[in-house]
Amino acid sequence: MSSAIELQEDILRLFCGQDTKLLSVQEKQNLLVYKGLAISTAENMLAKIFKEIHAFYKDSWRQIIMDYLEHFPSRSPIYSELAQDFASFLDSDFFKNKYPSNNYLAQVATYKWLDLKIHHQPQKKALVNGLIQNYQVFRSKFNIPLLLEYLNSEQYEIVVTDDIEEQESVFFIYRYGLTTKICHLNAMSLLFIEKLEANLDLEQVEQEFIVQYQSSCADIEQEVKKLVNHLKNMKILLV
Amino acid sequence: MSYKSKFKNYGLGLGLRRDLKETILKEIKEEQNDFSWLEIVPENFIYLGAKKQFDFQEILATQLPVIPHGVNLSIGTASKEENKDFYLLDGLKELFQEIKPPWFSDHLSCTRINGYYLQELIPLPFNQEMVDIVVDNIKFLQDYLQLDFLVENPSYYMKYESNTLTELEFINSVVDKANAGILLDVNNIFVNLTNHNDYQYQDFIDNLDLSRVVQVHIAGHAENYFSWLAQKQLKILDTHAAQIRQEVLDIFAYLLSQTSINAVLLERDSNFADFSQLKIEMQALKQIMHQGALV
Repeated sequence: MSSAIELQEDILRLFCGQDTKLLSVQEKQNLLVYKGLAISTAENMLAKIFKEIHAFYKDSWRQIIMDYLEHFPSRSPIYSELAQDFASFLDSDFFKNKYPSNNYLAQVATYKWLDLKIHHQPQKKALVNGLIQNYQVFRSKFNIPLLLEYLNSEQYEIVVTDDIEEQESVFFIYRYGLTTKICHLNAMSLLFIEKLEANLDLEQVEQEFIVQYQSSCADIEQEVKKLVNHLKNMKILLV
Repeated sequence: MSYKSKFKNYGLGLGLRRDLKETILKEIKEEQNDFSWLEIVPENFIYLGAKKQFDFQEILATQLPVIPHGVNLSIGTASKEENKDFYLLDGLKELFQEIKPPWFSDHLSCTRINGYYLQELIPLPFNQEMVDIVVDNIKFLQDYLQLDFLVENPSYYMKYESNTLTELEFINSVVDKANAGILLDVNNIFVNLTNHNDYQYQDFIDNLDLSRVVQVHIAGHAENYFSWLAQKQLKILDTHAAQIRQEVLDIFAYLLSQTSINAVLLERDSNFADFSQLKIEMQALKQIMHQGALV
């Protein structure tokens, strides 16, 4: 292995908080200037993206971001994608052992990342059946919109170590014009989306629903019509 | 015919940053713009969604030339297995087809090691092994993207014990062997000579291969930014967030007395509150460029 490769592997070890093998004391000291600058930039960006989580940890935020960058160095050249592993970090034993935590932090971070990811995604063409393609189905243990409302409300004094009751929910996060939106999916609308994802057209979905729900054609036709109108209004279905 | 004579003269440019976009568009619309081209950080414009693409269309509609200046091409990555990120390269290829730039550039540094991005411009050891690595990487980039590449002299806050060349020898050797151009950051010359006291700027400029200096970056920098800088025997950081100092303008004027430049960029990444201050700086730069017959 060339000395340049070995040197750079040592620099990576320094950035990941591990022991180095080749760098001199002075080189390590000076490379830490760069590590400090990287942390400063990330601190600000991640505080903006995860503002509800930052609000809990204002005093220890810099140390948290340093720990995050050491445990989850980014594999993306796109700076905002530095945020994509933050939920995994918050869910890690390392984080939970070192910082006060609760049962919903990682779920909030996952939602915030998905929202950002969809916002930055290239615009894709809708499927032939009309289903938009810039979306993500998000299965959460919590009612995310309500949880965010609660966290952003000034009415409550929220303690970081207080867990909240779980409430299994499925959400559809999607591009809505120039912004993103989140909406709740019930069992029927989730199944409907899954059928559209499998490239079925509306008539085929209707037939599958008749079998699935063992219901009359007229009833199913009515339900599907209502659902289609609803998804059109939400700009999830573009037909 | 010198390397840079194949490029036309673009005059003074300004960095397109999100917080400046509306002001830039207004200046152009009212024909008050002191800049005649825009620089972008291309990593901020690849694989983007509707909003940013829409924003970008407005910029392209102005028909001002847009020139990319990267931060993550990592031309100093040593490992051959890890030194090509095709996700980034293909995104750039698509972007370049749209903006049709005359060249692209990035820093003489390393930002990616074993596939991980360190989010900072890590300096390179100045030695022959690293010259060969950087040359191979630049040749690959120029071939893959079919575009001329300029290397920027970065500010560096450390010197490796394995250095066997001076910064100047390192830069000249890289651009000669890779047949690449130079993006000379005059503020970085000042930052490096202030922090390391290795050379006089006149010596640096006199001995640089000026026939390859195509573009210039000029910016302000922070002094005593962090108290711990002093502990590390450093005095200033290259922050692109302050007014240009007279000493840096002097270096710029000296450079223009020695060679012509195809494009000059006022580089500012934050502290945009008072655009009139930026306009004063642009006018001062244009005056120096006028004396050097660049505008």
